[in-house]
Amino acid sequence: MITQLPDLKSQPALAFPREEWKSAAAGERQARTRKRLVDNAREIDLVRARLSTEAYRQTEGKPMPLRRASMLLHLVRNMPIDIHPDEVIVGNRSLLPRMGVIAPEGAVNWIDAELDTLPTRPQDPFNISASQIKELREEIFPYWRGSTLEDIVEARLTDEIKLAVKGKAFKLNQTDHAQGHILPDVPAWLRFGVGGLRAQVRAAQQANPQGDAVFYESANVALDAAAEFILRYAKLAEAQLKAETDRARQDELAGISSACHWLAENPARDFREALQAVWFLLVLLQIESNASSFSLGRMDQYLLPYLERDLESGSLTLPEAQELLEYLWLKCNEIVLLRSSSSARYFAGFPIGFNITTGGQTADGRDATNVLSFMCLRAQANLCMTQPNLSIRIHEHSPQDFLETAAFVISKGSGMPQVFNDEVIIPGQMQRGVSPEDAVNYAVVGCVELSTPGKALGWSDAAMFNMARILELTLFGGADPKTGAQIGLRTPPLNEIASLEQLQACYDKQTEHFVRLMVEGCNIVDRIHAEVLPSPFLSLVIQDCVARGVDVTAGGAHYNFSGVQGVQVANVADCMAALELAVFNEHWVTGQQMLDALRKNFAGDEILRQRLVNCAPKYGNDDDRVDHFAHDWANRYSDLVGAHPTVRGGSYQPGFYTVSAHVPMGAVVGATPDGRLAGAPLADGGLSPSAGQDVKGPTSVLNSVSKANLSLASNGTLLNMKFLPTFFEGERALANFVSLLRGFSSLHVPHVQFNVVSAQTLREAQLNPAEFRSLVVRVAGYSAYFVELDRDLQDEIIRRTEFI
Amino acid sequence: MNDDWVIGVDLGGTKIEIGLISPENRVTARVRIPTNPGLGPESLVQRIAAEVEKLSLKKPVDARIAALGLCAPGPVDNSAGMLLDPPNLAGLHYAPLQQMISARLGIPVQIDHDAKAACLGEFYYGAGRGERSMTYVIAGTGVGSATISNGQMIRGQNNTAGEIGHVPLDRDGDLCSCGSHGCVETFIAGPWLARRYQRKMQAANPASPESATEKSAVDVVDLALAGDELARQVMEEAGSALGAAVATLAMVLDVDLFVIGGSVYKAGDLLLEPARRAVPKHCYRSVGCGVRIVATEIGDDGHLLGSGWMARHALAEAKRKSGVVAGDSHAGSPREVSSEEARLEDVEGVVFNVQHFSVHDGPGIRTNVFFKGCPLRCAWCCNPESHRFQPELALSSQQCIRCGQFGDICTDEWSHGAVTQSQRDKFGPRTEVCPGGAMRWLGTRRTAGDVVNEVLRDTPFYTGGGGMTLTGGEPTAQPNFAEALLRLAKRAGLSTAMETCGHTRWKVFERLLPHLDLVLFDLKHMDPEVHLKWTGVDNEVILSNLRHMAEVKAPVTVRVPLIPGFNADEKSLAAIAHFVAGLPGLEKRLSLLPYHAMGKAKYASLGLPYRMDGEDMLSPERVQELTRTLEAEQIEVSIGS
Repeated sequence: MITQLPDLKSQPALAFPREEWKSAAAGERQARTRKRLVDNAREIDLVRARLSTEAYRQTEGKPMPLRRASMLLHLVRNMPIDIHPDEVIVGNRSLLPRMGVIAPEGAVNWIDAELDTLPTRPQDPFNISASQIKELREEIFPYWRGSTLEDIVEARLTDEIKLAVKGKAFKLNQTDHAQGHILPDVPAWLRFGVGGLRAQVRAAQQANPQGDAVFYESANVALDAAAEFILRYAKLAEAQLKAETDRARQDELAGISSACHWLAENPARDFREALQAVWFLLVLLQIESNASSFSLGRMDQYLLPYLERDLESGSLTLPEAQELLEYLWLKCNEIVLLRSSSSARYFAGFPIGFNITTGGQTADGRDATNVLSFMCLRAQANLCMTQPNLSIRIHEHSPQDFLETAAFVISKGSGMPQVFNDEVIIPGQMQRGVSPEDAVNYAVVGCVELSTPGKALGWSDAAMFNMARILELTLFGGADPKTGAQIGLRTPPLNEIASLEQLQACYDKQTEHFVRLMVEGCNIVDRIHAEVLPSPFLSLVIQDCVARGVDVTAGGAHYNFSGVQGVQVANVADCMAALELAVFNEHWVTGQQMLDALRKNFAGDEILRQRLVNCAPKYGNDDDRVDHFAHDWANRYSDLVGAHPTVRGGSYQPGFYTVSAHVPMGAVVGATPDGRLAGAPLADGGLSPSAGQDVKGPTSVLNSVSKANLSLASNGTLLNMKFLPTFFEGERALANFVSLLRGFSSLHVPHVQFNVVSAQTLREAQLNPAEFRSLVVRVAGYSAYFVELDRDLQDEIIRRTEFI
Repeated sequence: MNDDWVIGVDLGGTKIEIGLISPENRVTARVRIPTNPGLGPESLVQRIAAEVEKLSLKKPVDARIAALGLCAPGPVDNSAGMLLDPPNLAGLHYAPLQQMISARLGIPVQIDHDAKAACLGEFYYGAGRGERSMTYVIAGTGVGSATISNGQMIRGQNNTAGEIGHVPLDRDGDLCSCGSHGCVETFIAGPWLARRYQRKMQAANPASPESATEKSAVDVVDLALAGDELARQVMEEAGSALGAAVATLAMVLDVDLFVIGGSVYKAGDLLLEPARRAVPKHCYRSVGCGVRIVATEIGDDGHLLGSGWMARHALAEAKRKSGVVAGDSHAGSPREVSSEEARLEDVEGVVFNVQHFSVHDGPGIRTNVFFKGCPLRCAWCCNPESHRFQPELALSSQQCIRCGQFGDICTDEWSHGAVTQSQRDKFGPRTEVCPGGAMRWLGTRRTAGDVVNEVLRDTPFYTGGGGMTLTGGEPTAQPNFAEALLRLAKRAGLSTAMETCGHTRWKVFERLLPHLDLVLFDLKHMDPEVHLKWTGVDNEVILSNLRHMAEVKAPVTVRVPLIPGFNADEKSLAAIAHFVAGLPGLEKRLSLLPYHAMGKAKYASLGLPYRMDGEDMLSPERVQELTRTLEAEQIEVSIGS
């Protein structure tokens, strides 16, 4: 079928027509590449560590921004590169895909300590050889000790902050590597190219002769590095071309070579060059920073003109364009981040955060969905990989066919696309001082963080604040129940507290205290980044840095935020409701008895624990008796956080998401009054109810979540929902799912993502029924809770689930 | 709200129960004294007054006791305020107790027949709340009844109406105390249960020493629960007799709701289920399909609470006579019977679940309101908790943590389900503190306003044509409640749908249809005998209603549960298809709901047998084959909903 551009403009859904949904699958070359990436053993790559050590040695005594730019140049000039025979979009930051790269300027201590266990650690293992270990320990680490980000942070944090961190009240992030988490100005990079940016740097310096000469010198070195890197691929393609015998591949290599030749200095001319340019940008940013979450922003918007021009001229067909897009999709799976074992628990499974945002609205408030939005959904349906992290923006007037297509892709079970809600996010951005035209242009960073493309350093992963732990400390008068150590302020313990109001007042005091300490800690970390990790290349693609001659880490960006996550509102709400009922209203136990039970992890108090679990109201069931606590404490945390300025001239903003941190952050919290046992995970996601406690279905969950003012959570929120694949059976299922999404939108919940649950999960549910109480099975005319069904029937459903 | 405290007195042949009743109409304190009727009326009044004075110490100091109501076995002349000649109360015959007590205590007093008092209690405070008419059947040592029709007590010429216990069911049967033979009483009164059991024992095994042991009615009930075959037969026969009596009353009085009280109701469904089964055999189908038999919801307090209502009535009368306009028009005056005047929000019904995010019962995302109680007993029913009309107890052994905090382990004690009153009394309070949430009430009485407010919470999700679906159980079996819910939903602009088995009076559908966007009408089988065997009723009323639906072009979707062994065969489906095709006003479309065993575990938790054991689910291929049968009749078929 030949689809004409005018048709695609009026009916963008033609890019992924309904009748082709069922047959969505990876093409031959994509499937081969996917297999290569998935099968590839993860190795440690020492090139980055070795070359950056060389570069730093050569530039001692020079200003840090210049040293960083020189390092980038040294790296791109000397690192080995390759073009795989299946590649059309080229470029990587290591020789092989998915290598663990070490950037010693961030940290060496934790790496040193964990070198021997890297291949065997339970989460995210990497292979490393004895000779690599030897080189690191003898040649590389000694040079860096004392001057890494990690070492300087450790030296400068105050004792009070360290006590709070050790006491697990909060966790400071970005203390051992560059922070990433940013939306570069991809449209500008595409429009101007390396040469255009050079001209901008020159013009800015002329307009600002008193400006920071080091900044501009570093910027030029970084641009030289970019050009040289891209040109190396042009030359490599040429060399491969000479040896190539296959005609088709010869044509491809010629195309790669000519595109790279051009892009080394010039802006992209067509869709394929634009995709290649986007990827080079991301690789260069990764080489410079070795950080998580450089995200791509609203790709369906900025790539559209390139695609439309090619379709119009006939130089590209729609299927060809789809294939090219999928090559970029595959590329996004080639970079992983080596994290410390503790960090890997918080961010398990290599979330590198190549987020792509589609849909949403245009500057004048019209729906922005276009043919590329559908192509992105199709790419996800075809490939079902973990990167890029595909996000859609929806709003009151989102087209039904776009939402139904998204629902179909969600039903395939990759958890993507995740869904963001313009109706609450745009006003939330504006409340933080983002201009209306920037707010409507928001995109997603990393996992679920919200930012302005090309204009903001959101520092969205600054810290995680353990609200549940702080409630525990409050119950015990600010002391750790296990050690007795005084971690927080001295406030009366539960046994001396006469009313729920008094308890809440104590919790408020402790929260305010720890928010202040967290912000102080983040500010210290932030300043050290500006000192030791200035990012000259990144500063070229964040607006205002070049004009002002200020590095992005030093506050050069137009907007400057820091995001700190509250973990977890659900547990706080459930605990408060349980305490209200059991201690203050119905007097099941005294405050002292409750403290004793918690301290003993409910040993000998199972009846009490079960009553707390089953008889106290739980967040997630649209029950105002408990939801109001979630509302109160989410809002209170948001207000406290929002009152603090960042050192870069912006403000702190709250988020409610954890990635996988609810597990390690739960591990440090003892038994809690909601009946949770010591060390058990907190609620997942960010705004999700505690596992298995939501028993009234997804609409009630959304109603519960919507009660807090989540426009305040402008750094981002996360809500996980689970569905069985059987839900998506039947012709009306997708439309019903879209009704759920529209309800989500009108309720002003900022984010939701869906796990379409597998047979494997159902088997887990059989083994641990208590944790899966909310899993609803739906068949003809009747619904039941999975765990309440006969074993035979469970098996029957599992059997059916497996065949979907 | 009135703040008057009142006294209720239940005057029996051997004892008097006196209760202090709060403004909220709860018995907050009570005392029992011997009747000793031979001591005469003065002594009686003196002793009652003394007890009232003691009880009055248990109310708040600043509150006053404003009136007293007294009930006694008939015959009672309620207007003259005296007992006539009840056989057990010799010594009190023709005593003007109303005037005597009123003079002694200085408050208004009213006197009535005990069955009527209990009926009033039930009507205002128990299972009759929200109804316009009901009959109360009291079965204990004797059997009697009282009926309120359109808000008015039916008294007859001499206040003796209602003696159902002495309607003969078998003119050649046992000699009754009244001199007649085979009266209702000889089947269901407590002493007769014991007597009949004894008789069966002796017939079955004359030599057994067990046969000679005297049994009480309570023993018979316990034996039946434990599975004793003869005891079960006795209860089955008693239930059938009760059903016949109820059918007779329904035919004579045109009442739908029958509330069973007195000590015998404590046998619960051992008695009530056979009664429900028997009703259709003894009356017009058009009458039987509306009949509901339920147990009392105020138990033994019926007499006291009814007497309390009479006291309030006496008070209101006294105020009216003395020219004081009563501030409270509700208590003590006949209920407003016009539904237009009653607030829709306040209409009550029994629901066992409000299920959000339902996607199979009508368009879009819907909230299903599950009505409790159904006139049918389909063998394959996946919602056994929907059968009975009243809240009942269920225990999920999977969730039981064997806490032992009540001295025993509920799961071990539960083997028979909580059918009887003694088990309700034993296990009911445990729901409040059951740590695992294993012991719980299925079904609660809720007002229409409360339910619709919960439904409206999901308004943001109804954009795709979604809304509220009434299901159950059988929504048409609680017509006032169903109508109130539908009208409130319509008032809020919601889409409405209702699932129905179709077994109700056409008049009910006439009331509900104007407020319904969709009726999901179950059509199960065309053969009346087969229908009766598998569902407990034949299909005449159902087919007639579906014909009517077609005539008025109601928005109906016909659904067929596809049940192996019952109708999942070509012949049965062809008959259904033929019928549907022959109704011009109906869309030529059927929805098939293949059998599943989702409800099986629930039967166990309710202590009910699962009659479909051993039946396999239909294979998708078989469902496809059957679909083709229907399509041959030019019927469009969908699977699922």
